[in-house]
Amino acid sequence: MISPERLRKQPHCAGAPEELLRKVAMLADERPFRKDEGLFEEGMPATHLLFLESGEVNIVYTLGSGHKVTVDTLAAGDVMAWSALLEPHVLTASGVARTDGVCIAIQGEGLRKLCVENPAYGYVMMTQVARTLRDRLTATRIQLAAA
Amino acid sequence: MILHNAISLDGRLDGFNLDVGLYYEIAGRLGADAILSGSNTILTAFGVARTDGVCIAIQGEGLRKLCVENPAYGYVMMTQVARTLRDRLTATRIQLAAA
Repeated sequence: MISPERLRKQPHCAGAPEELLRKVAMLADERPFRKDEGLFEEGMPATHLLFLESGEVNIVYTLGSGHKVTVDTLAAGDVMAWSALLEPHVLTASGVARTDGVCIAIQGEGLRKLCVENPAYGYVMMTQVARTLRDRLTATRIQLAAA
Repeated sequence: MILHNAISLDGRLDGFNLDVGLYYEIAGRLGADAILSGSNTILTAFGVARTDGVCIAIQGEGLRKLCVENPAYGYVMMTQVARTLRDRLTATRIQLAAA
Protein backbone atom coordinates (compact mmCIF):
# COMPACT_ATOMS: atom_id res chain seq x y z
CA MET A 1 0.00 0.00 0.00
CA ILE A 2 1.10 3.56 -0.68
CA SER A 3 -0.04 6.90 0.71
CA PRO A 4 -3.31 8.11 -0.87
CA GLU A 5 -1.65 11.54 -1.16
CA ARG A 6 0.74 10.16 -3.77
CA LEU A 7 -2.22 9.09 -5.86
CA ARG A 8 -3.85 12.49 -5.61
CA LYS A 9 -1.01 13.95 -7.70
CA GLN A 10 -1.93 11.64 -10.60
CA PRO A 11 -4.27 13.06 -13.26
CA HIS A 12 -6.72 10.13 -13.00
CA CYS A 13 -7.30 10.82 -9.30
CA ALA A 14 -8.17 14.51 -9.65
CA GLY A 15 -11.26 15.16 -7.52
CA ALA A 16 -11.60 11.57 -6.31
CA PRO A 17 -13.14 11.23 -2.82
CA GLU A 18 -10.73 10.42 0.03
CA GLU A 19 -12.40 7.09 0.81
CA LEU A 20 -12.03 5.95 -2.79
CA LEU A 21 -8.40 7.04 -2.93
CA ARG A 22 -7.74 4.94 0.17
CA LYS A 23 -9.21 1.90 -1.58
CA VAL A 24 -7.05 2.51 -4.66
CA ALA A 25 -3.99 3.06 -2.46
CA MET A 26 -4.58 -0.34 -0.86
CA LEU A 27 -4.21 -1.89 -4.32
CA ALA A 28 -1.04 0.07 -5.06
CA ASP A 29 2.67 -0.53 -4.54
CA GLU A 30 5.75 1.51 -5.27
CA ARG A 31 8.18 0.06 -7.83
CA PRO A 32 11.55 1.82 -8.13
CA PHE A 33 13.51 0.98 -11.28
CA ARG A 34 16.96 1.46 -12.76
CA LYS A 35 18.02 2.69 -16.19
CA ASP A 36 17.75 -0.04 -18.87
CA GLU A 37 15.60 -2.25 -16.63
CA GLY A 38 12.63 -3.99 -18.27
CA LEU A 39 9.44 -2.96 -16.46
CA PHE A 40 6.97 -5.08 -18.41
CA GLU A 41 7.09 -7.34 -21.41
CA GLU A 42 4.93 -7.64 -24.48
CA GLY A 43 2.78 -10.77 -24.55
CA MET A 44 2.72 -11.22 -20.78
CA PRO A 45 -0.49 -10.94 -18.69
CA ALA A 46 -1.27 -7.33 -17.73
CA THR A 47 -1.81 -7.77 -14.01
CA HIS A 48 -1.08 -4.16 -12.95
CA LEU A 49 -1.75 -0.69 -14.28
CA LEU A 50 1.39 1.44 -13.91
CA PHE A 51 1.69 5.17 -13.29
CA LEU A 52 5.05 6.71 -13.92
CA GLU A 53 5.86 8.90 -10.93
CA SER A 54 9.40 9.87 -11.92
CA GLY A 55 11.93 8.99 -14.61
CA GLU A 56 11.42 8.09 -18.27
CA VAL A 57 10.35 4.84 -19.90
CA ASN A 58 10.62 3.77 -23.54
CA ILE A 59 7.68 1.90 -25.06
CA VAL A 60 9.06 -0.75 -27.39
CA TYR A 61 7.36 -2.89 -30.03
CA THR A 62 8.91 -6.09 -31.28
CA LEU A 63 8.11 -6.43 -34.98
CA GLY A 64 7.62 -9.78 -36.73
CA SER A 65 11.25 -9.79 -37.88
CA GLY A 66 12.37 -9.50 -34.26
CA HIS A 67 13.40 -5.90 -34.87
CA LYS A 68 12.58 -3.65 -31.91
CA VAL A 69 11.12 -0.19 -32.43
CA THR A 70 10.81 2.47 -29.74
CA VAL A 71 7.49 4.15 -30.48
CA ASP A 72 7.18 6.46 -27.51
CA THR A 73 9.00 7.77 -24.46
CA LEU A 74 6.89 8.32 -21.35
CA ALA A 75 7.49 10.87 -18.61
CA ALA A 76 6.19 11.43 -15.08
CA GLY A 77 2.38 11.37 -14.91
CA ASP A 78 1.98 9.00 -17.88
CA VAL A 79 0.06 5.71 -17.76
CA MET A 80 1.70 2.39 -18.67
CA ALA A 81 0.38 -1.15 -19.10
CA TRP A 82 -3.14 0.08 -19.91
CA SER A 83 -4.01 -3.49 -20.96
CA ALA A 84 -4.69 -4.14 -17.27
CA LEU A 85 -8.00 -2.30 -17.78
CA LEU A 86 -8.93 -3.64 -21.21
CA GLU A 87 -9.52 -7.27 -22.09
CA PRO A 88 -7.86 -9.59 -22.97
CA HIS A 89 -5.45 -8.10 -20.35
CA VAL A 90 -2.32 -9.00 -22.29
CA LEU A 91 0.51 -6.48 -22.66
CA THR A 92 0.87 -5.16 -26.22
CA ALA A 93 4.29 -3.53 -25.79
CA SER A 94 7.37 -3.68 -23.60
CA GLY A 95 8.50 -0.94 -21.25
CA VAL A 96 12.23 -0.30 -20.79
CA ALA A 97 13.55 2.29 -18.34
CA ARG A 98 15.35 5.15 -20.09
CA THR A 99 16.43 6.59 -16.73
CA ASP A 100 16.20 5.66 -13.07
CA GLY A 101 12.74 6.32 -11.68
CA VAL A 102 9.72 5.15 -9.72
CA CYS A 103 6.32 3.91 -10.83
CA ILE A 104 3.15 3.08 -8.93
CA ALA A 105 1.66 -0.33 -9.71
CA ILE A 106 -2.08 -0.84 -9.11
CA GLN A 107 -3.60 -4.32 -9.13
CA GLY A 108 -5.67 -4.55 -12.30
CA GLU A 109 -8.43 -6.86 -11.11
CA GLY A 110 -9.18 -4.82 -7.99
CA LEU A 111 -9.01 -1.57 -9.93
CA ARG A 112 -11.50 -2.84 -12.52
CA LYS A 113 -13.88 -3.75 -9.71
CA LEU A 114 -13.50 -0.28 -8.15
CA CYS A 115 -14.21 1.34 -11.53
CA VAL A 116 -17.49 -0.59 -11.87
CA GLU A 117 -18.52 0.18 -8.29
CA ASN A 118 -17.56 3.87 -8.65
CA PRO A 119 -18.39 4.73 -12.26
CA ALA A 120 -17.47 8.42 -11.87
CA TYR A 121 -13.94 7.30 -11.03
CA GLY A 122 -14.11 4.62 -13.72
CA TYR A 123 -15.07 7.23 -16.28
CA VAL A 124 -12.08 9.44 -15.39
CA MET A 125 -9.75 6.44 -15.31
CA MET A 126 -10.93 5.09 -18.67
CA THR A 127 -10.67 8.57 -20.21
CA GLN A 128 -7.05 8.60 -19.08
CA VAL A 129 -6.49 5.18 -20.66
CA ALA A 130 -8.15 6.38 -23.89
CA ARG A 131 -5.83 9.42 -23.97
CA THR A 132 -2.85 7.13 -23.52
CA LEU A 133 -4.07 4.95 -26.37
CA ARG A 134 -4.68 7.99 -28.55
CA ASP A 135 -1.12 9.23 -27.92
CA ARG A 136 0.30 5.75 -28.60
CA LEU A 137 -1.66 5.55 -31.85
CA THR A 138 -0.32 8.94 -32.95
CA ALA A 139 3.25 7.91 -32.09
CA THR A 140 2.87 4.64 -33.99
CA ARG A 141 1.48 6.46 -37.02
CA ILE A 142 4.49 8.79 -37.02
CA GLN A 143 6.73 5.71 -37.04
CA LEU A 144 4.66 4.29 -39.90
CA ALA A 145 4.96 7.53 -41.89
CA ALA A 146 8.73 7.47 -41.38
CA ALA A 147 9.13 3.77 -42.31
CA MET B 1 -5.17 27.18 -33.78
CA ILE B 2 -4.81 25.64 -37.21
CA LEU B 3 -7.75 26.35 -39.48
CA HIS B 4 -8.15 25.65 -43.19
CA ASN B 5 -4.56 26.11 -44.21
CA ALA B 6 -2.16 23.29 -45.02
CA ILE B 7 -3.86 21.14 -42.41
CA SER B 8 -7.37 21.65 -41.10
CA LEU B 9 -8.66 20.96 -37.60
CA ASP B 10 -11.04 18.34 -38.92
CA GLY B 11 -8.23 16.50 -40.69
CA ARG B 12 -9.37 17.43 -44.20
CA LEU B 13 -6.92 18.69 -46.77
CA ASP B 14 -7.99 20.93 -49.64
CA GLY B 15 -5.71 21.62 -52.58
CA PHE B 16 -2.54 20.39 -50.87
CA ASN B 17 -0.46 17.26 -51.17
CA LEU B 18 -0.92 14.92 -48.23
CA ASP B 19 2.01 15.01 -45.80
CA VAL B 20 1.08 12.52 -43.07
CA GLY B 21 4.32 13.06 -41.15
CA LEU B 22 3.76 16.81 -40.95
CA TYR B 23 0.09 16.31 -40.01
CA TYR B 24 0.89 14.12 -37.01
CA GLU B 25 3.84 16.25 -36.02
CA ILE B 26 1.56 19.28 -35.71
CA ALA B 27 -1.44 17.36 -34.31
CA GLY B 28 0.86 15.82 -31.70
CA ARG B 29 1.67 19.27 -30.32
CA LEU B 30 -1.95 19.90 -29.37
CA GLY B 31 -3.05 19.05 -25.84
CA ALA B 32 -4.97 15.91 -25.01
CA ASP B 33 -7.99 17.90 -23.87
CA ALA B 34 -8.41 19.34 -27.34
CA ILE B 35 -9.22 15.91 -28.68
CA LEU B 36 -10.93 13.84 -26.03
CA SER B 37 -12.67 16.35 -23.82
CA GLY B 38 -12.49 19.80 -25.38
CA SER B 39 -15.30 21.58 -27.17
CA ASN B 40 -13.30 21.38 -30.42
CA THR B 41 -12.31 17.92 -31.52
CA ILE B 42 -9.72 16.85 -34.03
CA LEU B 43 -10.28 13.83 -36.21
CA THR B 44 -7.16 11.72 -36.40
CA ALA B 45 -8.06 9.80 -39.54
CA PHE B 46 -10.15 9.90 -42.68
CA GLY B 47 -13.27 7.78 -43.02
CA VAL B 48 -14.20 6.70 -46.55
CA ALA B 49 -17.29 4.59 -47.26
CA ARG B 50 -16.38 1.17 -48.59
CA THR B 51 -20.04 0.33 -49.25
CA ASP B 52 -23.41 2.09 -49.03
CA GLY B 53 -24.60 2.30 -45.44
CA VAL B 54 -25.98 4.39 -42.61
CA CYS B 55 -24.30 5.79 -39.52
CA ILE B 56 -25.72 7.56 -36.50
CA ALA B 57 -24.03 10.86 -35.59
CA ILE B 58 -24.21 12.01 -31.96
CA GLN B 59 -23.23 15.58 -31.03
CA GLY B 60 -19.87 15.30 -29.26
CA GLU B 61 -20.23 18.22 -26.88
CA GLY B 62 -23.64 17.08 -25.64
CA LEU B 63 -22.47 13.48 -25.37
CA ARG B 64 -19.45 14.45 -23.27
CA LYS B 65 -21.77 16.40 -20.97
CA LEU B 66 -24.09 13.38 -20.65
CA CYS B 67 -21.11 11.17 -19.81
CA VAL B 68 -20.11 13.45 -16.93
CA GLU B 69 -23.68 13.73 -15.65
CA ASN B 70 -24.25 9.97 -15.96
CA PRO B 71 -20.89 8.45 -15.11
CA ALA B 72 -22.13 4.84 -15.33
CA TYR B 73 -22.97 5.54 -18.97
CA GLY B 74 -19.75 7.55 -19.39
CA TYR B 75 -17.69 4.65 -18.10
CA VAL B 76 -19.25 2.22 -20.57
CA MET B 77 -18.93 4.74 -23.42
CA MET B 78 -15.27 5.54 -22.65
CA THR B 79 -14.46 1.83 -22.32
CA GLN B 80 -15.88 1.37 -25.82
CA VAL B 81 -13.78 4.30 -27.08
CA ALA B 82 -10.69 2.75 -25.51
CA ARG B 83 -11.47 -0.62 -27.17
CA THR B 84 -11.82 1.11 -30.54
CA LEU B 85 -8.49 2.88 -30.03
CA ARG B 86 -6.89 -0.41 -29.00
CA ASP B 87 -8.13 -2.06 -32.21
CA ARG B 88 -6.94 0.92 -34.28
CA LEU B 89 -3.55 0.72 -32.60
CA THR B 90 -3.30 -3.01 -33.33
CA ALA B 91 -4.14 -2.41 -37.01
CA THR B 92 -1.58 0.41 -37.29
CA ARG B 93 1.04 -1.75 -35.67
CA ILE B 94 0.43 -4.50 -38.24
CA GLN B 95 0.97 -1.88 -40.95
CA LEU B 96 4.21 -0.82 -39.27
CA ALA B 97 5.42 -4.43 -39.15
CA ALA B 98 4.68 -4.81 -42.86
CA ALA B 99 6.33 -1.50 -43.88
